Amino acid sequence: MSVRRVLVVMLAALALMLLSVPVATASGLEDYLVKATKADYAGEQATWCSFNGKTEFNVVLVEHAGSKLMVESGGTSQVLGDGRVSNVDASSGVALSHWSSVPLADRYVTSSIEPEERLGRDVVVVTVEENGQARARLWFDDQTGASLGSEVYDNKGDLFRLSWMRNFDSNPRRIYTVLGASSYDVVTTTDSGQLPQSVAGYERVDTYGGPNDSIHSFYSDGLFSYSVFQIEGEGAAGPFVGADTMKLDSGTYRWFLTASELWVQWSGSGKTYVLVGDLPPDHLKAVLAELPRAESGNLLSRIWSGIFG
Amino acid sequence: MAVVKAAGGCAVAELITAYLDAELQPGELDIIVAHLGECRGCIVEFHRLKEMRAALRTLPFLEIPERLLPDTHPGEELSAYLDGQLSTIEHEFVISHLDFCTDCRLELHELDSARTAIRSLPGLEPPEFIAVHQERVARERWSRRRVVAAAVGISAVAALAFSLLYPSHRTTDLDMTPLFDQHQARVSVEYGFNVVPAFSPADTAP
Repeated sequence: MSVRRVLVVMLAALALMLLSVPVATASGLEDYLVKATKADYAGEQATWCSFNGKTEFNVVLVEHAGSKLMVESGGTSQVLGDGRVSNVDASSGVALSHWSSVPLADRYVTSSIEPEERLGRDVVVVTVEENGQARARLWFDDQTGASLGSEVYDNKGDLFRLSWMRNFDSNPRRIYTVLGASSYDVVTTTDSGQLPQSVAGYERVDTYGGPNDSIHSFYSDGLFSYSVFQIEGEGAAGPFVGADTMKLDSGTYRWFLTASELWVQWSGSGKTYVLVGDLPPDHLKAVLAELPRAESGNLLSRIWSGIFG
Repeated sequence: MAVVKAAGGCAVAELITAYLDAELQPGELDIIVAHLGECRGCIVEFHRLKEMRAALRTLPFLEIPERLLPDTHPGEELSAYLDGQLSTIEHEFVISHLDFCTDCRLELHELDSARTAIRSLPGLEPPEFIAVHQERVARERWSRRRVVAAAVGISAVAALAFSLLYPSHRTTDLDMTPLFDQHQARVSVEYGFNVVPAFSPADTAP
């Protein structure tokens, strides 16, 4: 009898120990992220990003109400949310007909959740690790659930991107006065032009018909995400003409940086690919290695393209 | 407004047509967007109608050739008619026109007479100096061909060398803004990693 009691007490103690481990998985992070999507707030947000020796910095006005976010920059306004983007001044927009979701990838582990103070408010700092190394830190407002800032690191621990609210108001006002676009281009899903389902830990969540007869594949791992547009024909396009280049496995990739995202373009097998996303640099290289490769730029192909375009 | 029934006779098909005709009423877009998310038949119908409209927009304007209009005389076609160089439609037009147009019948007769007169002229042997001239022209042509061949060869070598030194960058006129908008629309339903895509890439083009 006493042995049974001892066993029961030991099991109970074990159960309590397991329950008391605060953040062994990433589920805590998911809760914070979900809450942040419904937060109400307004303020100035600064973003900074660095890649391959180049940096970009930008400040925008943001207002978040319910699931909608209004962004003002350079005298133009956009309203994002619920699969729609409205360019307020142009009265036009894009509306997705469908989207799926993926859970947070297993590779992310919430290593700590600690209280802090920022902008005079109580916040929690969530540190997310990948392979035992800090991948991101996110600051969430206690009262509203809003994300007040974030830091993203590469696999060497160097800062890749930083964003923070310079001021904070928990009462958004202007977003309620902004009307959505008067006309939307409705985007539907497609079965054509399928890229790999799984790429370097990212899942292809949705595939849409894209602008200019392109195919738009959207990948996410629950924390970072990117879009890949497949366009018929080869050649550097738009802002990629004259952009910086990088070599991966002898393939040539053109890229440029904004304060929040990386843009990469390459060509191969008669197609041009454009990738845009917020994924960190080491993830980007792993992703590019598993997507259709860039032309190697070998002698024969250079001669051919040089003569015939 | 045309009403097109989608596969399965969906009632939303009418709204899809209204959307494509830019005749939606407030609130109807939400119905379409929600419906297109779940009805495969309507997605197919939506793409079909969209492509059909795009194809119609790109059709060239056709103009009726002036000569096919009533009270129009064949004119130059009469000569081609005599040479047997008219197409079937043109031939029929000329024949039917000649049935009732005395002026054109007269013109055709004069044309035919003139051609007969030319054909009946005696043949002439070319003078000797013309034969010498023709020989010289042939020699000059041959040397000119050699110059052209050499020029083509040099150009090919130059193109080859240029292509090796400066790889080609064929610029397509691709606007990044629609791509960015569509990416943002999709990102807007991701979790709240609050790094806001702040501006269009067109503003930051290198």
